[in-house]
Amino acid sequence: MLLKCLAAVLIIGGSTVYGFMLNSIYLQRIERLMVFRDTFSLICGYISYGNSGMVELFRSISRNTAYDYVKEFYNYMTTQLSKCDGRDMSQMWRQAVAMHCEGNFLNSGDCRLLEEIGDIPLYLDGEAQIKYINGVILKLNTRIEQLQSNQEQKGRIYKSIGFAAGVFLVLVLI
Amino acid sequence: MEKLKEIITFLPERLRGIVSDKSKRIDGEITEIRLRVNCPLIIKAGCRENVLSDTIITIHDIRQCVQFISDYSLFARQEDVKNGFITLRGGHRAGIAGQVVMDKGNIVSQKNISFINLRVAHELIGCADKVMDFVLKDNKLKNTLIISPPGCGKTTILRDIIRQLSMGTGGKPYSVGVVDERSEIAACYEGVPQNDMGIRTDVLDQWTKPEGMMVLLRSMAPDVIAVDELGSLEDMRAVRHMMSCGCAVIATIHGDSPQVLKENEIFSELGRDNGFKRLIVLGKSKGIGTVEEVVDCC
Repeated sequence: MLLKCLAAVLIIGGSTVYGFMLNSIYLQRIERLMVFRDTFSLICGYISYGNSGMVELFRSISRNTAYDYVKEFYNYMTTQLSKCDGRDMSQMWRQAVAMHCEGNFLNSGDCRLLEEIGDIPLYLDGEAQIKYINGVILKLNTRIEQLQSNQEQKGRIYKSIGFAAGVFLVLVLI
Repeated sequence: MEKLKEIITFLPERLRGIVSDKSKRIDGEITEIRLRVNCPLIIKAGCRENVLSDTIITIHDIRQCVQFISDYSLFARQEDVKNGFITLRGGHRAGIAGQVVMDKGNIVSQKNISFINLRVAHELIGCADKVMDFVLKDNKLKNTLIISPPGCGKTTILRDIIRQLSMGTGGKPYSVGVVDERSEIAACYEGVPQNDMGIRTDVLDQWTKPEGMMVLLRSMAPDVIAVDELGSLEDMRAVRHMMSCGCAVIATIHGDSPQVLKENEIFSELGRDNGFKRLIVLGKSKGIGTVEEVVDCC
């Protein structure tokens, strides 16, 4: 009997934790999108200042960020851009998103949004580039707002479903 | 070959192999690679043009090339773009032409670049050997003017004269100040000269000549000031000022004979004695950089 009780507690506890974990993944997704959006705003600032090139800009973001995933992402971009191997920036950016973002809390829709920054029209003047990035930031903002508005509701669902699923499983097993 | 490898890295991926293959089959070293939208790729070696009619340049090629020549940062090269050229790693240059960007009636930059001329750097160490004895005649450095039509190597020879004076080759070393208005002499990339300018040379990059000469005189105490392509009365006035301050001047000007001193209005306005004591005339009679004539006006 004691064993049965222990198992029931473990199952309910486990599924509840899983529910909390799903909620935390959702929060992480929002946070990552916000952090990337902020780095894009930084890129805009650098471009309007026009003092350093893209490689230096990415290096600086990578050095100054507090987030490991941003550091890795921009480090990768810095290395790739320095190679001068004949690929354009959009190809490298897409690869960076695939390697450092896809599957790491962000879904494919989020990644497609992030990829858009790689298509920045590097053949146009700084002002046109800033306008383009601001357009992507706007799309990101809409995505973040949507996610935030659903966050409370989804969080509650994840947590209660986790618990309920545990109870259901225990009842079935009993 | 090294220089060619460097310049190829500024080309789009699909053109790299084509240029590399072609370079093995043509005589002479490649001096220019021209990319014009919807036109065939043209490679210039020496004075000969090689038109690759089966390689048509697309707008995508041009856009890729713009990324590479600007290090993916056209926004950081606005001043260069406005002036129509970008100095590249290794001292190469990319001439660019596109649509003007105006702000309140002023030209601020270019966009939609559709024509690119990649010019391979050709620093010729020792090419001034043939004139150094004349430049330093009687162990005295005097104001020297190099006269040459375009494309006859006046900047190349000036660069080597600067290097030799700065290194003290064959005599006393001089502290040389260079006003490099179009980044052609030192070819500074991110402030670092890509050409060997010697150990006693200070370079003011992309300064206008009159202002640059004054700054050099005040701040760097040069023995010699070197400038390329005198072209305006302001340039000449600044040169005269340098001479009157006891600073030797080595300069170049477009022309084909010493007659240019009489015919060119910037000299005539300054009177008979323009201050240049030694004249070197370059031409192409026996190849680019032939010294056609030297005139000692002392």
